[in-house]
Amino acid sequence: MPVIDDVPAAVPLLVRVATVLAFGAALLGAFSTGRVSSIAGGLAVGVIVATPLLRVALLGGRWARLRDGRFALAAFGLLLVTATGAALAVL
Amino acid sequence: MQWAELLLAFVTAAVGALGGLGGAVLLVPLLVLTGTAPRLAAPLGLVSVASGSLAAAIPQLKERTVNHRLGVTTELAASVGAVAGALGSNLASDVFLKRFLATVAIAAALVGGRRKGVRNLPDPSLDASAVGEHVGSLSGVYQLGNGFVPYRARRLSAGLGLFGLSGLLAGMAGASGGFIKTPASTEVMHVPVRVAAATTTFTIGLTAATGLTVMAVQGRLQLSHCAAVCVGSMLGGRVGALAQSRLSPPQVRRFLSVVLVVVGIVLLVKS
Repeated sequence: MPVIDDVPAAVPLLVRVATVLAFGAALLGAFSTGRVSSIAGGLAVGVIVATPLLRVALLGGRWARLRDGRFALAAFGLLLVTATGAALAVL
Repeated sequence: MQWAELLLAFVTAAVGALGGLGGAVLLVPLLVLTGTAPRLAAPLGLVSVASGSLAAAIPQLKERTVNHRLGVTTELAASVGAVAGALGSNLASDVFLKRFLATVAIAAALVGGRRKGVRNLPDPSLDASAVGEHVGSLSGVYQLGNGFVPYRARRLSAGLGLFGLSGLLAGMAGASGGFIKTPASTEVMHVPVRVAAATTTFTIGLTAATGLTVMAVQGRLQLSHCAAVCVGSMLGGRVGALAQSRLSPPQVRRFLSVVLVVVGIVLLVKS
């Protein structure tokens, strides 16, 4: 009988908060000008970039606790490849 | 206020979330056609993908249609391919890559469009408590109407190979690769189209996040334009995800086929 897994409780909360924060900041950035627009737009971009990476980190942590080793390894491997790719591009 | 960018982002993100493709492959050419420089349109495309992915996540998490294990596993192959592709981006010409991607998109549309009926059928012995993904495997159960459908990803090696290839091509051509990932999941790995579309919507958010990090360092983000695209894409992504939950798998597949043909034509025209 397969064991059914659910996402960590923090993931829906993270996604909800991030959605509200990103949308609010983007709205402010879209309907303002100058420095306020840039700061708000930057905040929106920061949130939409960080959220999926945090989501994978939370999933990897849960899978490690469940001793679902292969998938925990895949999650942290994915974060490592992502970080490596970004680092290589920056260099 | 960039109204044109906001409206274009809304429409393309809705289409992208409905089919699990990401809207960048449609948005970027449209932005270029309406006067945005290609160097600045590419990051706006990634903002659209990341925003649409985030906005679609709430309904998709509620319905439990995202298989995170499948998404992480396949994205690992795609990311390795994308890094390799980005590093070896001079190995193939831009024209060749766009024509190759167009051929893949149209072939995927034909394969998906020709298939009739539903491959994964509801199991009457299952109930709502069975919905979710399974520990230790690439399988799960999702709700379809009043029924509960079990599924298991098949041909993992072939699927990972295709995801790696999609990442390689995406890294070389600067596309999001979502229009290869969803058909690869449904037609090669036999994952139900709604699970495949929701899972790809999650993974392309990761791809876009990586690309945006690089572009931010390169100073290619116009933040006020990013804000307008973000607003449009979040609204569009939410609308697309809600529409996806109301359509049957054959309807989503037919819609996906039409969009893939459009994507193929756009890529051919761009090449």
